[in-house]
Amino acid sequence: MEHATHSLGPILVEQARYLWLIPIFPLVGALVNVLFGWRFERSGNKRLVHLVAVGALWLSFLVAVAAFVQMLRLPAERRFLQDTLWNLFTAGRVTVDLAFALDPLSMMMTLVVTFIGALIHVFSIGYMWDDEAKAYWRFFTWLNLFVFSMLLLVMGDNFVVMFFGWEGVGLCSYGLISYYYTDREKAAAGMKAFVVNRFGDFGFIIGLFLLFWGLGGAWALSGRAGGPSYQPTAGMNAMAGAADAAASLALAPEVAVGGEHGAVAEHGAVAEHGAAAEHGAVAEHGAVAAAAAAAGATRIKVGPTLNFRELRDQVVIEKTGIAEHLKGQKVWGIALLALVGIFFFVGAMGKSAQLPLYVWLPDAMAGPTPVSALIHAATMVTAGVYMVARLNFVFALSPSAMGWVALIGILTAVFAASIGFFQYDIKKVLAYSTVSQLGFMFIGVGVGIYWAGAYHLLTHAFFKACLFLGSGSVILGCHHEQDMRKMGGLKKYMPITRWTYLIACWAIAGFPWASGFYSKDEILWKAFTSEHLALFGVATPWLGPAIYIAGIVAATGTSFYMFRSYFMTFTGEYRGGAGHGHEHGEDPHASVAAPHHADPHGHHDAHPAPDPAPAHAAHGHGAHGHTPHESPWTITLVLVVLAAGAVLVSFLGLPAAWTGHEPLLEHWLSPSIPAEIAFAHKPHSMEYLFQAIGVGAGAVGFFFAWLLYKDGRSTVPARLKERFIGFWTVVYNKYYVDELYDLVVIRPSLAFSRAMSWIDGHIIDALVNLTGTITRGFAGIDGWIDKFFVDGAVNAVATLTIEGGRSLRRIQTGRIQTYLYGALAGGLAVILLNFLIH
Amino acid sequence: MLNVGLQHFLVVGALLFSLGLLTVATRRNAVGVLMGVELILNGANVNFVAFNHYVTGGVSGQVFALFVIVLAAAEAAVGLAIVLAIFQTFRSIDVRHADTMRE
Repeated sequence: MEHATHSLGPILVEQARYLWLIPIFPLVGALVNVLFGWRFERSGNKRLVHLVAVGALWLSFLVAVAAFVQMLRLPAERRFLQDTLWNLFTAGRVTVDLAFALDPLSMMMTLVVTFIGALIHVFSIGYMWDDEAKAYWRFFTWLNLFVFSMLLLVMGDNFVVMFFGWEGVGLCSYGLISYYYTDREKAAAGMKAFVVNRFGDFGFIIGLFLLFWGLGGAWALSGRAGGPSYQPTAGMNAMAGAADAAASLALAPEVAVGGEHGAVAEHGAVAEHGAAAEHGAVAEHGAVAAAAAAAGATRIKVGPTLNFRELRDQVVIEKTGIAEHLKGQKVWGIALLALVGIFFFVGAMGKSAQLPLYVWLPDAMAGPTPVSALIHAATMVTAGVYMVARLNFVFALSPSAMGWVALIGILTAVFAASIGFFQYDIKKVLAYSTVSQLGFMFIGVGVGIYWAGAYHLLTHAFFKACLFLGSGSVILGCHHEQDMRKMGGLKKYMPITRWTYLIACWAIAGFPWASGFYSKDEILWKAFTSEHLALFGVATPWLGPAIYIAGIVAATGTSFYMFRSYFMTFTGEYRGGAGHGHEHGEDPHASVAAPHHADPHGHHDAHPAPDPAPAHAAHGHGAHGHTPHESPWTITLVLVVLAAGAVLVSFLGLPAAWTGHEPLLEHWLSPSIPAEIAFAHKPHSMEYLFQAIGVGAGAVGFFFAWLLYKDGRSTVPARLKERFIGFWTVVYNKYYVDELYDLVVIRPSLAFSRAMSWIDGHIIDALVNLTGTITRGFAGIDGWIDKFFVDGAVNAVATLTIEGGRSLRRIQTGRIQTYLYGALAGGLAVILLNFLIH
Repeated sequence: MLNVGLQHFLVVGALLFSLGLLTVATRRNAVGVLMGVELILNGANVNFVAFNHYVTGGVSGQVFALFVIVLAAAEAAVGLAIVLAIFQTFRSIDVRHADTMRE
C-alpha cells in the first residue's frame, strides 16, 4: 500500500499540556481506594469505592476524547500531541523525559483503554458487589492501577515510560489474577503469569539494548581496549558533516533535512525544543511543509535514543542514512535488525501470549471475569501488538523479523483455536480464543499490514470484552458455574446476555456487518498477497499463502468453537440446578476428566471443580435459588454498549475494494505507520473471492457447531469423542504443554535450585563453618597463651610482691630495740667488711 | 706504776661506749635505756678529752665535751618527757610495750 510519501518528513510536534490528566485520574482513584477504600467499605459506604474508581475512568475517557477532538482538527502530518512533564535523566546525548505523546495509533489505544476500561469498571460494580472475597476496594484499586499502567504503556513518549507501564500492567495482572489469593491454585496462576511475562520482558530489554547499540551507542566499537570511552561510529561522523571526527564529537549529531537544497548543516547547539518552537511559530502561517522549507531545514537528532519520535524520524528519513547503517550491522554474523525484531517480539510473546509463552493466559482466567475481559482480552494482552505496530518502521527494515512474527502468529492462531474446540469451561474457551485472535493480530503486524493488525486489536477489544462480560453475566446468572455442560437453555432466562453474546460471536466468527470480518479478512488477504517475508535471511514467498490457508482453517475453528459455546450455553434445556445426575450417564467426560483433575500439575479450571462441589451448590442454591436469572442493569447495559460497538466499529474498516477509498482507520493511522511494505497487486475480483472464502469458513464452522450442539440433544459429539478418544484427550489437556513445561522448565529449574540449595547448605556453609572452626581453634590457643603465659607472668610478679611483702612485714616489729639490733648488725658488718677488704 | 697513756683512755672510752650500747640494747626499762645513752655519750666524751690532751692540744676537745654534756642534759630532759608520755599512753615504761609502730 502506498503509505503516502507525505509521511516521510519528520514528525511535527503539537504541545498539549493536559495529556497528563489522562493517566492521573486512575492513579488518583487507585490511591484514594488503597488509602480509604477499606474505610468506605467498613463504614457502609461501599458505593463510594466504585464511584471513585468508575468516575476516574470516565474522567480519563473525557480527557482522551478532548485530545481526540484536538487531534481531529489538526492536519494529518501534525497529529502528534506531546506533553513533557519533567526530565527523568540525561546521560550523554540521551535524554529521557517523563513525557506523554499521542499519535493516531496511541490515540486509538488510549480511547480503547479508557472507554472499554470504563465500561468494564461499570460492569464490575454489578459483578463484584456480592463477591465472596469481601475486598471490593482492593479489586477497584488494582483495576484503576492497571488502567494507569496501561495508559503509561500506550502514551509513553519513550521506551522508559512505556516499559514502566509494561511492567506495571504485568504487576496489576498478577495482583488481579491472584485476587482470590486464599485459593492456592489461583495464587499460583498469578505467579505463573508474572514469571512467564518476565521471560518476555527480558527479551524486550535485550531488543532495546541491541537497538540502542546499533544506533551508535556502542562503547569502544573500534576495538580499543581503553574502557568505556564513548565514540559515535565513523558513519555518524560522516552524517553530521563535520570537518573531522573531533569536531563532530563536539556537536550533537543532528542532521538537517528538508528544503530543496537540503544542505547538510551542523547545528550542534540547537536543541530540539528550539526547533519545536520554530515550528510553533511557523504553524501560524499555515502551510507547514512549505514553511519548514522556508525555515531552511529541520534538524533531526541522530544516534542512540530512547524516544519513539526521535527513533522514528532518524530511521524513516532516508537522508540520515541510519536505516542503511542499521541494515548493515551484524552481531555475530546475524543481522542486527533481525535480532532486534525477534527480541522485541519475544517481549510481545510474553505479554500477548504467543507460542510458546502463551501458557499463562488460560490460567489467568482464575481472576474475576471483568479482569479477564479488561486485562486478558481487551487491553494488556494487546500491548505486544501495539508495541510491534509502534515500532513498525524498525520491523519493516527486516523481512526476517517480520516473517518470524507472522509465523509465530499463525502457529499460535491455529494451535490455540484447536484447543478451544474441546474445552468445557466457558472462560477457558474464551481464553484460547483470545490467544488465537492475538495470533491473527500478529499475522497482521507481521506481514506488514499494521493498520489491520491494530484494527483487529480494536474490533477484538469490543467483541472479546463483550464475550467475556457475557460469560461473566452467565456465570453470575448460573450461580458461579463455569462448566458449559451445566448450562444450556439460558436464552429463556437471560435474553439480553444471549443476544449480545450472539452478536459478539457473529463478529468474532467473521460474518459481514460485524467488525471481525473486516479486520480478519484484511489481515488474511494481505498475508496472501505479501511477498517480502523471510525467515533467517532467506526469502520465503510461500509463507504468505501458507499463512492464508492456515488462517482460514483457524477462522473456521474460531467460528466453530465460538458457536459451540453459544449453543451449549444458550440453547437446549437448562442442565444446571437440581439434575446433575443424569448427564454423567450420557456424557463420558467425567471419567476422562477425573485423572486430569487428579494431576496436581495439570491445568486447573478457574473455578475449582466442574463436578458439582457440594459447598458450591449449597452456596448457589442458598443464595439465589435454582433458576438462572438475568444480571443487573449495570451488567446488561455494558453488554449492549459493547455489542453495539462490536458492530459499529466495522465502519472504520470497510475495505477499499468496496468503497473505493482507503478505510477510515487506515487513513487515520497512516501518520503513525511510516513503514512501506509492498504487496502484490491482485484484482478486486480475487479479493471478493477471498472474502467469500472467509465468510464461507465462518459459515462452515457455524454449521458444524449448529449441527452438533444446537439443542444439546445430539449424541454425535459424544460418539465422535468415543471414536477419537486418544486425540480428544490430548487436545482436551491442551496438548500437555503445561506438563511439557513442567518437565522441561519447571522441574529442571526446581531441581537446579534444590541442587544450589544443597551446595549452599553443604558446601558453602561447610566452608564457612570450617573457617569459623579454624579461627576458633586459633583463638582458643591464643587465649590459652594469654591466660597461662602473659597473665601468668603478670600474676607471678604480683604474687612475688605480695609474698615478699608478707614475709618482710615480720621485720618491722615496732620494738625500738629490734631496730637497734639491725643497726648494730649493720655497723658491725661495715666494720668487718672494712677489715676484710684491707 | 703503770704509765697511763692515750690507749688506756681509749680503752676506758670504748668500755663506756660498749656498756652504754649494751644497756641501750638490752634494758627494758625506758629510763635504763636513757641511762645507757648517757654512758655512750660519756664514752665519746672520754675520747674527745683524751684525743685533745694527747694528740691535738688546745681546748677544742674539751669544749666539745662540754657541749656534749649540755646536750646530754637537754637530751635527758626530752627523753624523760618522752618516757612520761610513753607511760601515760601505755601505763608502762617497758619499751617492748611501745610497739604500735609495728606494721
